[in-house]
Amino acid sequence: MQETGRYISERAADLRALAELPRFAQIALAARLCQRALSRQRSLGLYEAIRQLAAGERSSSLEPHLSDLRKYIAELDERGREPNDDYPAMWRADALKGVLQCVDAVPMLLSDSKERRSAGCDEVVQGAHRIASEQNLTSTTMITQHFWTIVPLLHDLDLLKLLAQSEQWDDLTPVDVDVLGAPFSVATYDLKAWRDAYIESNEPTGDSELVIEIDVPESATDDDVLQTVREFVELADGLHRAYGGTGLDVKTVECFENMNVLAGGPR
Amino acid sequence: MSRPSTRRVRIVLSGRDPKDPAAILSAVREAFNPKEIEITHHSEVSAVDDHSRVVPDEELETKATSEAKSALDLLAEAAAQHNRLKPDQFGLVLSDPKAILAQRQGVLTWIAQRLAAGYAFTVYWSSRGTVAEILDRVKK
Repeated sequence: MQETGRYISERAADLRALAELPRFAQIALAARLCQRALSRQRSLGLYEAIRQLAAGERSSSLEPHLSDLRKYIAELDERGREPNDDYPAMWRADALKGVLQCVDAVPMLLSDSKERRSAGCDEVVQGAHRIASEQNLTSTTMITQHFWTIVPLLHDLDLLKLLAQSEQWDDLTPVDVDVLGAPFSVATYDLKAWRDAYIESNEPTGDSELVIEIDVPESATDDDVLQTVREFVELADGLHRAYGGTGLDVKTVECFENMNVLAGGPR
Repeated sequence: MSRPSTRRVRIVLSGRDPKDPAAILSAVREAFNPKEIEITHHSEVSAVDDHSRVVPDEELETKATSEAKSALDLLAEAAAQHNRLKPDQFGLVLSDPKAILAQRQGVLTWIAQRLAAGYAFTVYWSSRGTVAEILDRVKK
Protein backbone atom coordinates (compact mmCIF):
# COMPACT_ATOMS: atom_id res chain seq x y z
CA MET A 1 0.00 0.00 0.00
CA GLN A 2 2.90 2.31 0.82
CA GLU A 3 4.37 1.58 -2.58
CA THR A 4 1.06 2.36 -4.26
CA GLY A 5 0.84 5.64 -2.36
CA ARG A 6 4.30 6.59 -3.60
CA TYR A 7 3.32 5.69 -7.17
CA ILE A 8 0.25 7.89 -6.88
CA SER A 9 2.08 10.93 -5.59
CA GLU A 10 4.80 10.55 -8.20
CA ARG A 11 2.31 10.26 -11.04
CA ALA A 12 0.19 13.10 -9.68
CA ALA A 13 3.30 15.27 -9.70
CA ASP A 14 3.76 14.35 -13.37
CA LEU A 15 0.65 16.36 -14.15
CA ARG A 16 2.74 19.50 -13.74
CA ALA A 17 4.23 18.67 -17.14
CA LEU A 18 1.05 20.26 -18.50
CA ALA A 19 2.96 23.56 -18.35
CA GLU A 20 5.40 22.26 -20.98
CA LEU A 21 2.72 21.70 -23.62
CA PRO A 22 1.90 24.20 -26.35
CA ARG A 23 -1.17 26.35 -25.67
CA PHE A 24 -3.84 24.47 -27.62
CA ALA A 25 -2.63 21.11 -26.35
CA GLN A 26 -3.15 22.44 -22.81
CA ILE A 27 -6.69 23.42 -23.72
CA ALA A 28 -7.28 20.01 -25.34
CA LEU A 29 -6.31 18.42 -22.05
CA ALA A 30 -8.76 20.64 -20.15
CA ALA A 31 -11.46 19.61 -22.67
CA ARG A 32 -10.64 15.99 -22.07
CA LEU A 33 -10.96 16.39 -18.33
CA CYS A 34 -14.41 17.93 -18.74
CA GLN A 35 -15.42 15.23 -21.19
CA ARG A 36 -14.60 12.55 -18.65
CA ALA A 37 -15.83 14.28 -15.53
CA LEU A 38 -19.27 15.31 -16.70
CA SER A 39 -22.11 13.11 -17.82
CA ARG A 40 -22.73 13.18 -21.53
CA GLN A 41 -25.95 15.14 -21.12
CA ARG A 42 -24.30 17.91 -19.14
CA SER A 43 -20.93 17.95 -20.86
CA LEU A 44 -21.94 18.06 -24.47
CA GLY A 45 -22.18 21.82 -24.95
CA LEU A 46 -19.35 22.70 -22.59
CA TYR A 47 -17.02 20.05 -23.94
CA GLU A 48 -17.76 21.05 -27.53
CA ALA A 49 -17.06 24.70 -26.71
CA ILE A 50 -13.66 23.92 -25.14
CA ARG A 51 -12.89 21.50 -27.93
CA GLN A 52 -13.51 24.24 -30.48
CA LEU A 53 -11.20 26.59 -28.59
CA ALA A 54 -8.50 23.89 -28.66
CA ALA A 55 -9.04 23.68 -32.41
CA GLY A 56 -8.21 27.39 -32.60
CA GLU A 57 -11.75 28.71 -33.03
CA ARG A 58 -11.61 31.83 -30.92
CA SER A 59 -15.26 32.67 -31.50
CA SER A 60 -16.37 29.76 -29.32
CA SER A 61 -17.82 30.93 -26.01
CA LEU A 62 -17.91 28.97 -22.77
CA GLU A 63 -20.28 31.19 -20.82
CA PRO A 64 -23.65 29.99 -22.22
CA HIS A 65 -22.83 26.43 -21.18
CA LEU A 66 -21.51 27.35 -17.76
CA SER A 67 -24.76 28.73 -16.39
CA ASP A 68 -26.40 25.28 -16.61
CA LEU A 69 -23.47 23.70 -14.79
CA ARG A 70 -23.42 26.39 -12.08
CA LYS A 71 -27.14 25.89 -11.53
CA TYR A 72 -26.68 22.14 -11.19
CA ILE A 73 -23.85 22.62 -8.69
CA ALA A 74 -26.06 24.94 -6.63
CA GLU A 75 -28.79 22.27 -6.59
CA LEU A 76 -26.31 19.65 -5.41
CA ASP A 77 -24.94 22.00 -2.75
CA GLU A 78 -28.49 22.55 -1.54
CA ARG A 79 -29.17 18.82 -1.37
CA GLY A 80 -25.91 18.31 0.49
CA ARG A 81 -27.00 20.80 3.16
CA GLU A 82 -30.29 19.05 3.82
CA PRO A 83 -30.65 17.00 7.03
CA ASN A 84 -30.63 13.65 5.19
CA ASP A 85 -26.85 13.97 4.78
CA ASP A 86 -26.68 13.48 1.04
CA TYR A 87 -22.91 13.07 0.97
CA PRO A 88 -22.65 11.88 -2.65
CA ALA A 89 -24.40 15.12 -3.71
CA MET A 90 -21.85 17.12 -1.72
CA TRP A 91 -18.94 15.23 -3.24
CA ARG A 92 -20.37 15.52 -6.70
CA ALA A 93 -20.81 19.25 -6.23
CA ASP A 94 -17.18 19.55 -5.19
CA ALA A 95 -16.01 17.52 -8.18
CA LEU A 96 -18.04 19.72 -10.50
CA LYS A 97 -16.42 22.75 -8.91
CA GLY A 98 -13.17 21.11 -10.04
CA VAL A 99 -14.59 21.07 -13.56
CA LEU A 100 -15.47 24.76 -13.23
CA GLN A 101 -11.90 25.41 -12.13
CA CYS A 102 -10.64 23.75 -15.33
CA VAL A 103 -13.07 25.70 -17.48
CA ASP A 104 -12.14 28.97 -15.79
CA ALA A 105 -8.52 28.16 -16.60
CA VAL A 106 -9.17 28.10 -20.36
CA PRO A 107 -9.15 31.91 -20.88
CA MET A 108 -5.96 32.01 -18.80
CA LEU A 109 -4.38 29.44 -21.11
CA LEU A 110 -5.35 31.58 -24.08
CA SER A 111 -3.64 34.58 -22.55
CA ASP A 112 -0.36 35.94 -23.94
CA SER A 113 0.93 36.50 -20.40
CA LYS A 114 3.33 33.79 -19.30
CA GLU A 115 2.30 34.19 -15.67
CA ARG A 116 -1.37 33.91 -16.48
CA ARG A 117 -0.83 30.79 -18.55
CA SER A 118 1.21 29.24 -15.78
CA ALA A 119 -1.58 30.04 -13.31
CA GLY A 120 -4.04 28.48 -15.78
CA CYS A 121 -2.03 25.24 -15.79
CA ASP A 122 -2.07 25.19 -11.99
CA GLU A 123 -5.85 25.63 -12.03
CA VAL A 124 -6.30 22.67 -14.40
CA VAL A 125 -4.08 20.47 -12.22
CA GLN A 126 -5.92 21.50 -9.05
CA GLY A 127 -9.25 20.95 -10.79
CA ALA A 128 -8.16 17.45 -11.82
CA HIS A 129 -7.24 16.58 -8.23
CA ARG A 130 -10.55 17.94 -7.00
CA ILE A 131 -12.42 15.80 -9.52
CA ALA A 132 -10.35 12.78 -8.53
CA SER A 133 -11.14 13.33 -4.87
CA GLU A 134 -14.81 12.51 -5.45
CA GLN A 135 -13.82 9.07 -6.64
CA ASN A 136 -11.59 8.73 -3.64
CA LEU A 137 -14.53 9.37 -1.34
CA THR A 138 -16.98 7.15 -3.17
CA SER A 139 -14.74 4.12 -3.45
CA THR A 140 -13.14 1.75 -1.00
CA THR A 141 -9.49 2.27 -1.86
CA MET A 142 -7.55 5.48 -2.28
CA ILE A 143 -5.93 4.41 -5.52
CA THR A 144 -9.22 4.28 -7.41
CA GLN A 145 -9.07 8.02 -8.08
CA HIS A 146 -6.13 7.26 -10.32
CA PHE A 147 -7.98 4.59 -12.23
CA TRP A 148 -10.54 7.09 -13.37
CA THR A 149 -9.03 10.53 -13.55
CA ILE A 150 -5.31 10.91 -13.06
CA VAL A 151 -4.00 7.87 -14.96
CA PRO A 152 -6.09 8.46 -18.12
CA LEU A 153 -5.22 12.15 -17.95
CA LEU A 154 -1.53 11.38 -17.72
CA HIS A 155 -1.97 9.04 -20.65
CA ASP A 156 -3.41 11.93 -22.67
CA LEU A 157 -0.60 14.17 -21.47
CA ASP A 158 2.04 11.65 -22.59
CA LEU A 159 0.44 11.36 -26.02
CA LEU A 160 0.15 15.14 -26.44
CA LYS A 161 3.79 15.59 -25.41
CA LEU A 162 4.94 13.03 -27.95
CA LEU A 163 2.80 14.46 -30.74
CA ALA A 164 3.81 18.04 -29.96
CA GLN A 165 7.46 17.08 -30.13
CA SER A 166 7.22 14.85 -33.16
CA GLU A 167 4.89 17.04 -35.21
CA GLN A 168 6.59 20.25 -34.04
CA TRP A 169 3.51 21.91 -32.58
CA ASP A 170 3.88 25.42 -31.26
CA ASP A 171 1.55 27.81 -29.43
CA LEU A 172 -0.28 28.54 -32.67
CA THR A 173 -0.90 24.91 -33.65
CA PRO A 174 -4.59 24.02 -33.22
CA VAL A 175 -5.29 20.63 -31.66
CA ASP A 176 -8.18 18.37 -32.59
CA VAL A 177 -9.16 16.57 -29.37
CA ASP A 178 -10.02 13.54 -31.52
CA VAL A 179 -6.30 12.90 -31.75
CA LEU A 180 -6.50 11.49 -28.21
CA GLY A 181 -8.84 8.65 -29.16
CA ALA A 182 -11.49 7.21 -26.87
CA PRO A 183 -11.88 9.05 -23.54
CA PHE A 184 -11.96 5.85 -21.59
CA SER A 185 -10.86 2.27 -21.97
CA VAL A 186 -12.41 -0.78 -20.43
CA ALA A 187 -11.79 -1.08 -16.72
CA THR A 188 -12.51 -3.95 -14.43
CA TYR A 189 -13.63 -1.98 -11.40
CA ASP A 190 -17.25 -1.43 -10.55
CA LEU A 191 -17.59 2.18 -9.48
CA LYS A 192 -21.04 2.69 -10.78
CA ALA A 193 -21.44 6.44 -11.00
CA TRP A 194 -18.08 7.06 -12.57
CA ARG A 195 -18.23 4.07 -14.80
CA ASP A 196 -21.59 5.21 -16.14
CA ALA A 197 -20.28 8.70 -16.79
CA TYR A 198 -17.34 7.27 -18.69
CA ILE A 199 -19.42 4.87 -20.69
CA GLU A 200 -21.79 7.68 -21.61
CA SER A 201 -18.86 9.53 -23.10
CA ASN A 202 -17.90 6.42 -25.06
CA GLU A 203 -20.55 6.31 -27.67
CA PRO A 204 -20.25 2.98 -29.49
CA THR A 205 -19.11 3.03 -33.10
CA GLY A 206 -22.38 1.52 -34.34
CA ASP A 207 -23.00 2.79 -37.85
CA SER A 208 -20.01 5.16 -37.88
CA GLU A 209 -18.02 5.14 -41.05
CA LEU A 210 -14.67 6.42 -42.19
CA VAL A 211 -14.67 7.35 -45.86
CA ILE A 212 -11.64 8.16 -47.96
CA GLU A 213 -11.68 9.11 -51.61
CA ILE A 214 -8.46 8.70 -53.50
CA ASP A 215 -7.93 10.46 -56.82
CA VAL A 216 -5.54 8.32 -58.80
CA PRO A 217 -3.04 9.97 -61.17
CA GLU A 218 -3.21 9.11 -64.84
CA SER A 219 0.12 7.33 -64.75
CA ALA A 220 -1.01 4.80 -62.10
CA THR A 221 -1.67 1.21 -63.17
CA ASP A 222 -4.36 -1.09 -61.74
CA ASP A 223 -1.69 -2.73 -59.61
CA ASP A 224 -0.71 0.70 -58.23
CA VAL A 225 -4.33 1.32 -57.30
CA LEU A 226 -4.64 -2.04 -55.55
CA GLN A 227 -1.41 -1.42 -53.67
CA THR A 228 -2.65 2.01 -52.58
CA VAL A 229 -5.93 0.55 -51.35
CA ARG A 230 -4.14 -2.21 -49.44
CA GLU A 231 -1.65 0.18 -47.85
CA PHE A 232 -4.41 2.57 -46.84
CA VAL A 233 -6.53 -0.06 -45.11
CA GLU A 234 -3.49 -1.56 -43.39
CA LEU A 235 -2.40 1.82 -42.05
CA ALA A 236 -5.92 2.73 -40.91
CA ASP A 237 -6.35 -0.65 -39.24
CA GLY A 238 -2.96 -0.42 -37.49
CA LEU A 239 -3.81 3.02 -36.14
CA HIS A 240 -7.25 1.87 -34.99
CA ARG A 241 -5.65 -0.97 -33.04
CA ALA A 242 -2.96 1.32 -31.59
CA TYR A 243 -5.75 3.48 -30.16
CA GLY A 244 -7.21 0.39 -28.48
CA GLY A 245 -9.78 -0.60 -31.11
CA THR A 246 -10.38 -4.04 -32.56
CA GLY A 247 -9.50 -3.03 -36.09
CA LEU A 248 -11.49 -2.15 -39.18
CA ASP A 249 -13.71 -3.82 -41.73
CA VAL A 250 -14.38 -2.86 -45.35
CA LYS A 251 -17.95 -1.86 -46.07
CA THR A 252 -17.52 -0.92 -49.71
CA VAL A 253 -14.88 -0.05 -52.26
CA GLU A 254 -16.03 1.83 -55.35
CA CYS A 255 -13.95 2.77 -58.38
CA PHE A 256 -14.91 5.46 -60.90
CA GLU A 257 -13.35 6.41 -64.21
CA ASN A 258 -12.95 9.54 -66.35
CA MET A 259 -13.48 12.80 -64.54
CA ASN A 260 -11.78 16.05 -63.72
CA VAL A 261 -11.19 16.92 -60.07
CA LEU A 262 -9.38 19.44 -57.99
CA ALA A 263 -6.33 17.96 -56.39
CA GLY A 264 -4.69 18.89 -53.10
CA GLY A 265 -1.03 19.00 -52.31
CA PRO A 266 1.45 20.21 -49.75
CA ARG A 267 0.81 23.82 -48.66
CA MET B 1 -4.29 23.58 -58.27
CA SER B 2 -6.27 21.72 -60.90
CA ARG B 3 -5.26 18.70 -62.90
CA PRO B 4 -7.00 15.90 -64.72
CA SER B 5 -7.55 12.60 -62.98
CA THR B 6 -8.78 9.47 -64.65
CA ARG B 7 -9.91 7.50 -61.64
CA ARG B 8 -11.24 7.87 -58.15
CA VAL B 9 -11.50 5.16 -55.49
CA ARG B 10 -13.92 5.54 -52.58
CA ILE B 11 -13.29 3.27 -49.60
CA VAL B 12 -15.75 3.01 -46.73
CA LEU B 13 -14.51 1.47 -43.49
CA SER B 14 -16.22 0.76 -40.20
CA GLY B 15 -15.10 -0.69 -36.89
CA ARG B 16 -14.80 -4.47 -36.85
CA ASP B 17 -16.51 -4.47 -33.48
CA PRO B 18 -19.52 -2.08 -33.34
CA LYS B 19 -18.94 -1.74 -29.60
CA ASP B 20 -15.61 0.03 -30.11
CA PRO B 21 -15.90 3.69 -29.13
CA ALA B 22 -16.64 5.93 -32.10
CA ALA B 23 -13.85 8.21 -30.85
CA ILE B 24 -11.30 5.66 -32.04
CA LEU B 25 -12.56 5.82 -35.62
CA SER B 26 -12.57 9.58 -35.28
CA ALA B 27 -8.92 9.51 -34.20
CA VAL B 28 -8.08 7.52 -37.34
CA ARG B 29 -9.93 10.09 -39.43
CA GLU B 30 -7.93 12.87 -37.76
CA ALA B 31 -4.64 11.17 -38.63
CA PHE B 32 -5.60 10.92 -42.30
CA ASN B 33 -6.49 14.59 -42.36
CA PRO B 34 -3.23 16.11 -41.13
CA LYS B 35 -2.90 19.80 -40.45
CA GLU B 36 0.27 20.04 -42.51
CA ILE B 37 -1.38 18.91 -45.73
CA GLU B 38 -4.27 20.37 -47.63
CA ILE B 39 -6.20 17.30 -48.69
CA THR B 40 -8.91 18.42 -51.15
CA HIS B 41 -12.04 20.48 -51.38
CA HIS B 42 -14.74 18.39 -49.74
CA SER B 43 -17.45 19.74 -52.02
CA GLU B 44 -15.70 18.07 -54.92
CA VAL B 45 -17.18 14.77 -53.81
CA SER B 46 -20.36 15.70 -55.64
CA ALA B 47 -18.43 15.68 -58.90
CA VAL B 48 -18.26 11.91 -58.71
CA ASP B 49 -22.00 11.57 -58.75
CA ASP B 50 -22.90 14.52 -60.96
CA HIS B 51 -20.40 14.18 -63.76
CA SER B 52 -22.04 12.69 -66.80
CA ARG B 53 -18.88 10.94 -68.00
CA VAL B 54 -18.29 9.07 -64.75
CA VAL B 55 -18.57 5.32 -65.04
CA PRO B 56 -17.90 2.65 -62.45
CA ASP B 57 -14.91 0.40 -63.10
CA GLU B 58 -16.46 -2.81 -61.84
CA GLU B 59 -13.52 -5.05 -62.55
CA LEU B 60 -11.12 -2.89 -60.56
CA GLU B 61 -13.78 -2.45 -57.89
CA THR B 62 -14.04 -6.21 -57.36
CA LYS B 63 -10.28 -6.60 -57.19
CA ALA B 64 -9.85 -3.65 -54.82
CA THR B 65 -12.61 -4.88 -52.51
CA SER B 66 -11.04 -8.31 -52.34
CA GLU B 67 -7.56 -6.80 -51.76
CA ALA B 68 -8.82 -4.61 -48.91
CA LYS B 69 -10.88 -7.34 -47.26
CA SER B 70 -8.11 -9.93 -47.37
CA ALA B 71 -5.56 -7.44 -45.99
CA LEU B 72 -7.84 -6.61 -43.05
CA ASP B 73 -8.77 -10.25 -42.43
CA LEU B 74 -5.09 -11.16 -42.23
CA LEU B 75 -4.45 -8.35 -39.76
CA ALA B 76 -7.44 -9.40 -37.66
CA GLU B 77 -6.19 -12.97 -37.59
CA ALA B 78 -2.72 -11.88 -36.51
CA ALA B 79 -4.14 -9.55 -33.86
CA ALA B 80 -6.35 -12.30 -32.47
CA GLN B 81 -3.20 -14.28 -31.73
CA HIS B 82 -1.21 -11.78 -29.74
CA ASN B 83 -1.85 -8.09 -30.30
CA ARG B 84 -4.79 -7.33 -28.02
CA LEU B 85 -4.08 -4.67 -25.41
CA LYS B 86 -4.07 -6.03 -21.87
CA PRO B 87 -5.32 -4.26 -18.72
CA ASP B 88 -2.60 -2.52 -16.72
CA GLN B 89 -1.92 -3.10 -13.04
CA PHE B 90 -5.00 -1.08 -12.10
CA GLY B 91 -7.35 -2.75 -14.58
CA LEU B 92 -7.31 0.02 -17.18
CA VAL B 93 -6.75 -0.82 -20.82
CA LEU B 94 -4.66 2.06 -22.08
CA SER B 95 -3.11 2.36 -25.50
CA ASP B 96 0.61 3.00 -25.82
CA PRO B 97 1.27 6.62 -26.85
CA LYS B 98 4.52 5.57 -28.56
CA ALA B 99 2.66 2.99 -30.67
CA ILE B 100 0.09 5.62 -31.64
CA LEU B 101 2.84 8.05 -32.57
CA ALA B 102 4.63 5.43 -34.69
CA GLN B 103 1.42 4.57 -36.54
CA ARG B 104 0.58 8.24 -37.12
CA GLN B 105 4.06 8.88 -38.49
CA GLY B 106 3.53 5.95 -40.86
CA VAL B 107 0.28 7.52 -42.04
CA LEU B 108 1.90 10.94 -42.56
CA THR B 109 4.79 9.47 -44.50
CA TRP B 110 2.42 7.45 -46.68
CA ILE B 111 0.22 10.44 -47.42
CA ALA B 112 3.24 12.59 -48.28
CA GLN B 113 4.60 9.91 -50.62
CA ARG B 114 1.27 9.45 -52.34
CA LEU B 115 0.73 13.17 -52.77
CA ALA B 116 4.19 13.45 -54.30
CA ALA B 117 3.23 10.67 -56.71
CA GLY B 118 0.18 12.64 -57.83
CA TYR B 119 -2.58 11.10 -55.70
CA ALA B 120 -5.11 13.26 -53.85
CA PHE B 121 -7.33 12.47 -50.88
CA THR B 122 -10.63 13.46 -49.34
CA VAL B 123 -11.54 12.16 -45.89
CA TYR B 124 -14.97 11.99 -44.27
CA TRP B 125 -16.13 10.59 -41.00
CA SER B 126 -19.49 10.39 -39.34
CA SER B 127 -20.44 9.13 -35.90
CA ARG B 128 -24.05 8.96 -36.95
CA GLY B 129 -25.31 7.97 -40.35
CA THR B 130 -24.05 6.32 -43.45
CA VAL B 131 -21.89 7.44 -46.33
CA ALA B 132 -24.93 8.17 -48.46
CA GLU B 133 -26.14 10.60 -45.78
CA ILE B 134 -22.73 12.24 -45.51
CA LEU B 135 -22.52 12.73 -49.24
CA ASP B 136 -26.03 14.09 -49.26
CA ARG B 137 -25.06 16.65 -46.60
CA VAL B 138 -21.94 17.63 -48.53
CA LYS B 139 -23.97 18.23 -51.69
CA LYS B 140 -26.32 20.59 -49.86
